[in-house]
Amino acid sequence: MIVLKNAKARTAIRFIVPLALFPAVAAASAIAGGRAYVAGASVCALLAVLVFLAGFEQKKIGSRRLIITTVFVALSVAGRFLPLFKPVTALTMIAGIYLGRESGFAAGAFSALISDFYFGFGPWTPFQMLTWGLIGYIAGVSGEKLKNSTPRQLAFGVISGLMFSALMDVWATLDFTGGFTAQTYFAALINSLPFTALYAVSNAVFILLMSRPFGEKLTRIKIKYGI
Amino acid sequence: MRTLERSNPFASLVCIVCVTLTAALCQYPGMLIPALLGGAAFYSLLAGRSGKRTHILCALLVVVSALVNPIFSHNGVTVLFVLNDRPVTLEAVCVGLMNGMTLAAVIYYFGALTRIMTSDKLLYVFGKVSPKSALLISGALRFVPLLGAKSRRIEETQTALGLYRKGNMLSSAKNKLKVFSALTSWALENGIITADSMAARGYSDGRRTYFAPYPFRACDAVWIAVYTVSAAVLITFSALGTYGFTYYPQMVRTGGAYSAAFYALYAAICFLPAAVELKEAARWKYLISKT
Repeated sequence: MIVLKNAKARTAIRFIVPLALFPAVAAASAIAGGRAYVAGASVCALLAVLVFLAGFEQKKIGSRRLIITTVFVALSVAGRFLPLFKPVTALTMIAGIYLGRESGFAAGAFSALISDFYFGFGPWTPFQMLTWGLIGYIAGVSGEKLKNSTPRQLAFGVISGLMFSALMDVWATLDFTGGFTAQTYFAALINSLPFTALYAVSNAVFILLMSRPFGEKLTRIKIKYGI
Repeated sequence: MRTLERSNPFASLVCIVCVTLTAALCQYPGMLIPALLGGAAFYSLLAGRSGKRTHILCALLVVVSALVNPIFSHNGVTVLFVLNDRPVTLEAVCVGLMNGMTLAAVIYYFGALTRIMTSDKLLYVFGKVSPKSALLISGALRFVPLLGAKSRRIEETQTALGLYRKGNMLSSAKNKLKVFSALTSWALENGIITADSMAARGYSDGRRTYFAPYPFRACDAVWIAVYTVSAAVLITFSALGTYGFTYYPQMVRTGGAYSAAFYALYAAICFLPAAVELKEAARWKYLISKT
């Protein structure tokens, strides 16, 4: 991967790519017309994911930390087989808090990618990767604030449930109507309200159930093996 | 010609990406029908009976998409009937149908790609550009079935100990969570052991090299050349308007007299993977000694 030496430039690019590319593609496809937008948006999401993953590639993390991230990904994917319970967001949050922002992004993004190995790939895969990755990244950025406060973690779970729904609805609007207008987006948001509520509540439940035991397990591993 | 499955992984990746990208950018009926049929044929040949769920998913997507689009879009001149004072048009239904078909075609081709790209091939393709991500993907793909097997063993042990009772939903959810907790403890410890054994064998001491039994043959070059050139031609001439199709306000075929040639070219690259697969299968069948 291309590596930028300047840390500030890296961070800037990380946020410029998603924030500037999406409107650019929107404008381009508005001129070119219709359906090219969907493919373009997927490519954009993929680029954004790549930009974040470049950070993960470039960060020096030991083999232990890398494998622990892998285990988190595998657990999330295995967890997606549970009926009704989808612990991906909770696990991604915990990975972000304890392993750092880059690993958090990787855990979220690769959970989406690997579970699509089982559930089927599609143009939505980059969107899922980006959304879950960002949840892990944000959890990593605010790691210290979240670490010892259950109410904050619960709030994070609820907000990330809303964020997941809002971002995936962008994709749903694009796919079903072949374009993007505020009106159809709001219609999609209202339509998916029950699912949004379900995401938010199940995230909160999972965080309530898993955050403390997971934290203890990870802390124990950290002390035992000195990571 | 070797099948895509036995070609160089780069060739498989490039071919599938070219076909799906063209389908996503040129959504005309003449393009999507061969894309969908070719994808379904290729996927069925590779997946066999295990692909049943994908077929159901794709059929549902096409139907739902055709039903949903007219609710949001009221463009088009051919009104089928009026619902809630809003016209439901034939054009909107067809656009929905086309959206669904694009999606289904992409799912089929990428489903086939996941069957082709085993984790060693993934490491070969992405290992050089992003070693960590490639290792993470292939590691996670191995851990998932391992964790599944382990969680079954934990469940059986707990059942044997009389700690795991299948009762109402709440208690079974509680039990599942208990198993998940035990699984996590084991997985984390096991992960550390894996990492240590990797370090002991020299991981992170230098650049990792991969054993890759995938020579780049002449036919791989042919695959890549045919698909990239075709995709470039098809996308360019579609953008120039040499051939095309408009849905709104009325469904019309646009473009000149040579349109048929472009559709034929696309159909050819759609069906080629399945055809080569079939040819190889037939060859195997007739090479088996019958005496």
